Amino acid sequence: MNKKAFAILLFFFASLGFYACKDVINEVPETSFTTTPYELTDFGTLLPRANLPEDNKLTNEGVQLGRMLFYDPILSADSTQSCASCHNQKDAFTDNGRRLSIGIRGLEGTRNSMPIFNMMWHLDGFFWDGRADILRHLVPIPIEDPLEMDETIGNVLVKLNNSEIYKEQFNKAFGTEEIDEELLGKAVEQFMLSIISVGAKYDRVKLGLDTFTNQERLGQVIFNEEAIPLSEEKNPNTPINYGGDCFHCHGGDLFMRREYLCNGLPPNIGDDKGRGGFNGNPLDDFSFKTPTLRNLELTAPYMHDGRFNTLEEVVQHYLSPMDDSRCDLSNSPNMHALKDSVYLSEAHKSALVAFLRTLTDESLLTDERYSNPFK
Amino acid sequence: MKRLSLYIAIFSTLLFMGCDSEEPEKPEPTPDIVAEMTVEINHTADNAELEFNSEYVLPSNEKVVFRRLAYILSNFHLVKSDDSKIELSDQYGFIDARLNKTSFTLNNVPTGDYKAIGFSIGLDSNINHGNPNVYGVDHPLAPINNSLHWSWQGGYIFTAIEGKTMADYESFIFHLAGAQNRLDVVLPIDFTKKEAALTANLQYNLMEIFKNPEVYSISVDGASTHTVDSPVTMKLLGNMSDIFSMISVNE
Repeated sequence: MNKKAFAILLFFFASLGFYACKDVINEVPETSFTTTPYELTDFGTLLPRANLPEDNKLTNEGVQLGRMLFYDPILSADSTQSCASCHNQKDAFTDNGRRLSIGIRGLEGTRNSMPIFNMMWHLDGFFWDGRADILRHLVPIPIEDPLEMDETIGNVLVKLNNSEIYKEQFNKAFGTEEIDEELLGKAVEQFMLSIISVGAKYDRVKLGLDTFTNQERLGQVIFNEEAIPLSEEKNPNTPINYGGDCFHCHGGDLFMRREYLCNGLPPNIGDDKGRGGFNGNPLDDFSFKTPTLRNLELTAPYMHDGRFNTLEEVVQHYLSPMDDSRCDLSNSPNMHALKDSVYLSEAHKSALVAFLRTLTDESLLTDERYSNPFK
Repeated sequence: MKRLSLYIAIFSTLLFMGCDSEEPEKPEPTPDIVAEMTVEINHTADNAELEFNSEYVLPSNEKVVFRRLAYILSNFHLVKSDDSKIELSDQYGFIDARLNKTSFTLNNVPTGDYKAIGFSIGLDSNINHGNPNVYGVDHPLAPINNSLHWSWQGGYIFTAIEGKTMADYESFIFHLAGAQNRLDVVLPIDFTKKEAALTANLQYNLMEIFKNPEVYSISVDGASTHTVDSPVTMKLLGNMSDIFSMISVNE
């Protein structure tokens, strides 16, 4: 064995070692796309911390793609309606004051269009009956509803996969040009999660940047007081004013509650059993999602079927005898407490409504980030 | 040639080591200590399982159906056999029996011999009136999670007991709150924390609040609590001191 042979052998083994190791590294697939994390509106401690989906982190590319899809009529069968048709930014993403929305076939839906903002704080499903568990699963439902966009997901995917623009956008956001239902849902989910409303007078007051009027402050007390006589109303010659007891179901800074509840509405159109109609549990019959009161002023008409046109009508509903023929209100003790005895003077009703109007966030209506990207 | 074999052996070894070096070195084998204790609470109406669609007869002879039993626990601590106290700070339990949220896990439980588990029903004043938005949505103290937040001024509802009386289908709402009404509980039990996680089984007998030491009548004493110092609140609180009992602590 001479030195030369030894050196060759050494080189051979070293190469083998290097090659073997390199081979292992090569098994990791190369990623050809990079994304930039999306920066959410800073809500400080005005709203609770929220959990965003770990498997669909918000990126500039994903949110922008979701925004395009949200505003693109390509999702409907005849390319006349987009999500934004019934979720209009100028109405806090509700349907232009309509009681019920009208789909592409000119047919009326059965429920009032719900606002789309602060979606990341919803823990127990979406829609009035909670039939979509997470946002991405919500996306196909209006697309395929014959009363709404009346399209099939299959057709939507064909249209998107034939679009060079969308192939490029999906590639930027998710690293693939093969668009499927999962990615479609994830993209729109990202945009909907990005919409945050925290610029109401109520928030400015909490930050010390604004102050409530005396009327608004009284309204806040009524909102947050139980359905019992208010201590300052002791004049024996006038009816005793009560607390409105709104906060039990619309409490916290999100002004909503996670439970689906029955609020004693008398029968109206159809026989909408709400949550119970979806999950088959008779205890949930005629229960509906407890919506946020933020931007209430902008989202008329009210209730799941849009039966009330004004906030005054809504307040009056809760001050009137409630219908418990369809759901046992004593199953909802807090609602039951309101059932017979709550009285608010005209001044107190106005004060309550004045407080509710402080939940209006005008900045949401014009925020560029949430607007139509095709304009 | 012998020397060559040696070189080859060394290189072969190096070669394998080189590739393997990306894997972390195996630590010395030490027992894995899981410093957790899961608390599971069994809710009863005396000896029967508590159900939310069944009728119960209260000690006052009133028939009721319960619709909600929810509460907040805090200030968890363990008492060691030598009487020293282990505080499990900043940990909270939220229970909603109807929604089957009946257990939670405590962390940072050290190994050792113990003789009691303690906690509070309710919260200290500073937490009770703090900004609830500092908690994530699934935190026990997040209002959207527990539906037990009254407002910043009012703080949290420590215990919510709601239902209806079957005689007149009227509802009752007992919302016990107020930092001064925090109730401290210590449950004696001998146990040892070794490496494995522990499970503590507790019983919560809802009937206790209606009978011991004073029988509570919804029609006579009142169907709702509206203030933190009302006679209704005080009578119910007075009955709550033995609402919990310890069943077992097991690995």
